[in-house]
Amino acid sequence: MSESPVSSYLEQLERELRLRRAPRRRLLAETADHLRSCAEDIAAAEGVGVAEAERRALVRFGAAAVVARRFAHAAASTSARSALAWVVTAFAAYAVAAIAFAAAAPSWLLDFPQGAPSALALQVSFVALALSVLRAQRFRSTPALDGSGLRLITNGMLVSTLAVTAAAGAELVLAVTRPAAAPWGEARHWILLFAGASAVGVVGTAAAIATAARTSGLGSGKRTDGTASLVGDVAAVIPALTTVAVHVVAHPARTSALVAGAAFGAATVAGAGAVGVFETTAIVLAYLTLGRALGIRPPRGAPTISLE
Amino acid sequence: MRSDVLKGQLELVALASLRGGPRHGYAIIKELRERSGGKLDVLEGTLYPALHRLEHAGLVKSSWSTEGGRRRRVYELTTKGRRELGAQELEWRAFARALDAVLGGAP
Repeated sequence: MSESPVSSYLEQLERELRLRRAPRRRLLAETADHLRSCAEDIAAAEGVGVAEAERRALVRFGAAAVVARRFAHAAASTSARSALAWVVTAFAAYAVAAIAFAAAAPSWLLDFPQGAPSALALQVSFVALALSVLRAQRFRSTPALDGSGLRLITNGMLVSTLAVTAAAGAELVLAVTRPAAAPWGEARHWILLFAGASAVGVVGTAAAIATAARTSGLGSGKRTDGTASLVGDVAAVIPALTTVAVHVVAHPARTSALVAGAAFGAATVAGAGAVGVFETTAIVLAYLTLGRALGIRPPRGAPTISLE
Repeated sequence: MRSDVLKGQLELVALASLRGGPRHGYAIIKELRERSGGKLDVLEGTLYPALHRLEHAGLVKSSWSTEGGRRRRVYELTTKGRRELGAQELEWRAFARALDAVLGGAP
């Protein structure tokens, strides 16, 4: 005897759903109840047999792939929101550790380039995280984030948390490869502090990667032009900065050069020319390599935004 | 009415339906169809992701109940959801008035 249309549909939906066991079972139970109630109403109203009523109920319900896709989207939105909280915590933990280190570490631990990876990573991490928080904040009262918005938020989280985690590794390598014998007894609590901050960074990275896995496959797969929505995001969350956002989007290269020039100028005035060159190069490289993923540099071939 | 027009408003419609008291998913769909005289139609399966999103956002809460021997997930508005519904309703009415004014002026 062949299976009923509803039973076959439930099996197909179970195969399509990319959810954990508990939410999957709950959705399947709700779907079964809905379809059977609907089929009963159709059979009573239209006088058709059970199998035909079930088939009509399934047409109203929608294809299993469509329902599964909407669920994947909902799960990714939820995952992005909780991952963002972890990534913000990871950034804050590393920032506190780095500031405490710069303010109070023994002088033999503070010589350049020790500390440079952290200084650089915290800047990249801050910009990436600020963009993700801005985009998430715009949609705080909307349960569903759209596919391209989700991808940009996830990219920002990944860049932010990977930057501080990589900085922790680089600082460790710099520390242990020092040519002179070092009084490591004095540095023990600094190592513990950074190890703790890095552990939070690893959790943040894992949460961001899990969200990226959920987000992959959502949307059209086309490259997202974040600059197209950036002005709207800024206008909705921080209206006072709308004009700045319009100029950043209309003149991305000029803005990047301006920020790099300001950093170089500030370092030179402070008598740290080498740091200025390092900082300027890092800003330009970060913009060129990460700008598109973060949605602050237009994709190749994107139409130019005019301010006229 | 095309289902893609309603797609972006499904959460608002679900919240509005729950204002009258706790309901399960199928009852929400039935109410939507009845109150709109069948003009608002939606792929019924897309209601559940919307309800789950609303629940994760803290706008609705749900629990299992048994009706007529059938186990059903029943949703109800939270205080936050009631506030959000009021805010979205105001926004939507302002938008509808503005659109109506524009369309009303068309030849």
